[in-house]
Amino acid sequence: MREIFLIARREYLAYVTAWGFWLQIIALPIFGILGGLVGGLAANSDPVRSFAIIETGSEWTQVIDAALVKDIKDQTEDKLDEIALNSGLPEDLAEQAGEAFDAAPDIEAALAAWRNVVGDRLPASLQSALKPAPARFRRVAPPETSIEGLRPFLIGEKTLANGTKEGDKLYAALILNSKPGSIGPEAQYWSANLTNPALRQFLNAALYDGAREKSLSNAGLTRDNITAIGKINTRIKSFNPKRVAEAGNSASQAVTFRDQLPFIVGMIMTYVLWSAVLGVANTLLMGVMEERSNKILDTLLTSASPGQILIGKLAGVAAVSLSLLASWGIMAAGAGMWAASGGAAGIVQSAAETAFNPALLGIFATGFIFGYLMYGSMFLAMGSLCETLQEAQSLMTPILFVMMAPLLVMVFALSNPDLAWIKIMSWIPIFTPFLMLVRAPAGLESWEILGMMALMLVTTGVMLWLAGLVFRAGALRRLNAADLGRFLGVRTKKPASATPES
Amino acid sequence: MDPVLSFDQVSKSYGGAPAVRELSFSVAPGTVCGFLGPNGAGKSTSLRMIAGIHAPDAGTIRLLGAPPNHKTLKRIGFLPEERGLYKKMRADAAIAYFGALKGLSGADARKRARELLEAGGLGAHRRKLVKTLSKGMAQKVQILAAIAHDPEFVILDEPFSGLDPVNQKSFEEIVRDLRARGRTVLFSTHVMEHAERLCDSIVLIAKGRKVFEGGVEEALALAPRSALVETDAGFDLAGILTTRNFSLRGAILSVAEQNLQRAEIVLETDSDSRRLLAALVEAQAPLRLFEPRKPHLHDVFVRLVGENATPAG
Repeated sequence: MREIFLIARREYLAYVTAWGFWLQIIALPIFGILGGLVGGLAANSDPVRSFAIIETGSEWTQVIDAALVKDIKDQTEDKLDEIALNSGLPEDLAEQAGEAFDAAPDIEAALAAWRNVVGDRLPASLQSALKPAPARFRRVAPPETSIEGLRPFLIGEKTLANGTKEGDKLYAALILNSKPGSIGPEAQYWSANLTNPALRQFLNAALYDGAREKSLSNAGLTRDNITAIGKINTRIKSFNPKRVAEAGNSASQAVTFRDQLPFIVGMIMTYVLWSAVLGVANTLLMGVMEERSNKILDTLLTSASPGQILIGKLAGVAAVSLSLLASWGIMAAGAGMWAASGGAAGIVQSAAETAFNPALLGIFATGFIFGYLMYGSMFLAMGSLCETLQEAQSLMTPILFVMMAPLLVMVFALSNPDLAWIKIMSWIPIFTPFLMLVRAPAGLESWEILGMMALMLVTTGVMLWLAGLVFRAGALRRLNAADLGRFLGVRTKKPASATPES
Repeated sequence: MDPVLSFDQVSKSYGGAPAVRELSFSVAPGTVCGFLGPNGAGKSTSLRMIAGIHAPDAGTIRLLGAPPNHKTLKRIGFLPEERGLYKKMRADAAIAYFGALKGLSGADARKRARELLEAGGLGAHRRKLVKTLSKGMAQKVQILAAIAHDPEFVILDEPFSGLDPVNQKSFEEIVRDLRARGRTVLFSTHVMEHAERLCDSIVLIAKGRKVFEGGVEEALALAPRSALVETDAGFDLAGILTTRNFSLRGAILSVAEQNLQRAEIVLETDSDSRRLLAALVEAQAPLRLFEPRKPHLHDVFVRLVGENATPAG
């Protein structure tokens, strides 16, 4: 036991005193922050798209102007919904505030109505966020009256005479012509941007709404009738049948964003597990390869058995990865506290409750232990067969491809955890630690959890046994990667050969 | 006293190729034993079997009164032929680590590491990383790591290879010190002078088999004696040697610029030296030099293993 402890301690100290460990600790949060910043930056830096309309008359231009005002109101309402969710406002109160917002005639009145309903339930830090959302699109007067004249503006050779920096450019032009026998106009959308469909979709919806209203008016409906029809909103509310049995009243059975949190937390945990397993497994391989190439294994073997060395290394590097996870956990807790103080108490609390769910944590811990032992022992055994980086890379490449599979599957599993092929893949032992975690939030049956744990236990046992054989062969008999197949193949036939020493 | 180590009909092969064949020898306590043989003789395989890294296919090894096992291996120190240390570890930490693996407590291992480095002249380098040490220093650190737990029996596989003369001398001192403290040492070497200077006994193997075991003096007695003779040029040295039944080792060498001739003459017995000198005097040979030569282990090696065998690891 003492040998195992000493080897584990040396492994642990060797890694935690290396720069790579500290880089790994800060890499994940840095990438997380960068990802958030880039996402936020992309959302906030979306410029106001200027467009011009060429129309004989102004009937449809007025329709689009009205839609622009409504778009700002809709965007503002979405933002208020997000604020309500993040701040932890009760769902019924948020719904009442939303109805008051909808009923108000303009954006300022709508904001005031929302504020009146919510009252002082909203944290003071979020009061300043209660303002109209910025406009996404802006209609400008066409600098030319034909598409030929507008072409230089659309392709950036000319800019508009006034407006903001981005507004200086003409993003798109809409050519509207009356079409005989048709209620709506014939529309041509001109833009050099072929990838962002937002403005085109907005204009399309605005013209469709205008044409619908015109059609209803032609059918004899009054203005009030048409407004009433426009306010008809059939909202489908989702309910989770699994919660009925638990909750007992329909109000708390309704599905909200909080119900989706376990899936997101499960996905994050899977990614963290994957990063940790890959990081430490790679560390193990490189460490053993260094010991073999530096001939340290021979010295170690006179003081400890191959089994003790194998277990000591696995334990030492497991401690390294636990330190990593603990560091990331502390950072996440710090970030959560900071976010809560900034008005995201509701979402932070929900996320924390989900993450600290004993069942999910139990599955995460199980997945981590078995995943680590499976992949760790595999990489350690491979390291004992390698003396150079090239040898290690040639052995690692196929394993890395295999390890990429859970990441790809995770994307599908988030929206369709019940897909048959995902269920089947989760029973393939090398994927089980990851996919079990991905599927857990959708609700795994007890027999599935027990079955997967048993499967991982057996697979890990077999993997450790095989790793022990290969490690002994690599360390004691100095077999290399090229001998691996021969070694495993001949074990049941005849003794493997190795280079005799002097 | 029971031997510290004994091999009894030990054999080991790899994939059908024998590395060690029915090898039997023993090492007495408190002695320094040289383990000599040409390349591929089976020395490293034998030493790795003693260190418990390999198990013999046949025969028995007894180490400190028992087969090599966890307990007995804790009482030995082993320096493998192919050496290496953790490059990013400090010199004192490396010695303390291997000392602790052999059973020393953490505090004792650190104390012992400091003492050994001071005694070995590396006190000033004890906090340096292994990768910053010279090759000689790193090898010294490794042998100190092998003896950190003050083992009863020390096995050194080619301890002098790759060392400069100063460090070789320093290593010899370490071996002498071990013997002076009553420890037993078994080492393989391809430098016969080291074996001659340090060993009480030697075991010589070739092609996996033992060809000699015994004391150094006993080994030297097996070596052919000779005498170096120089006379003025023109003297019929060859004729005298032929008529008196002496044989030459090599040919008579003529050194024209000094006007002399030189020959090495084989002496079959100790009395041959006196008989040769008497014959030369009687023939009134113009002697410039008559030097009976002391036999060396290299000569024993060549005689027992053959001219073509390289005395290496």
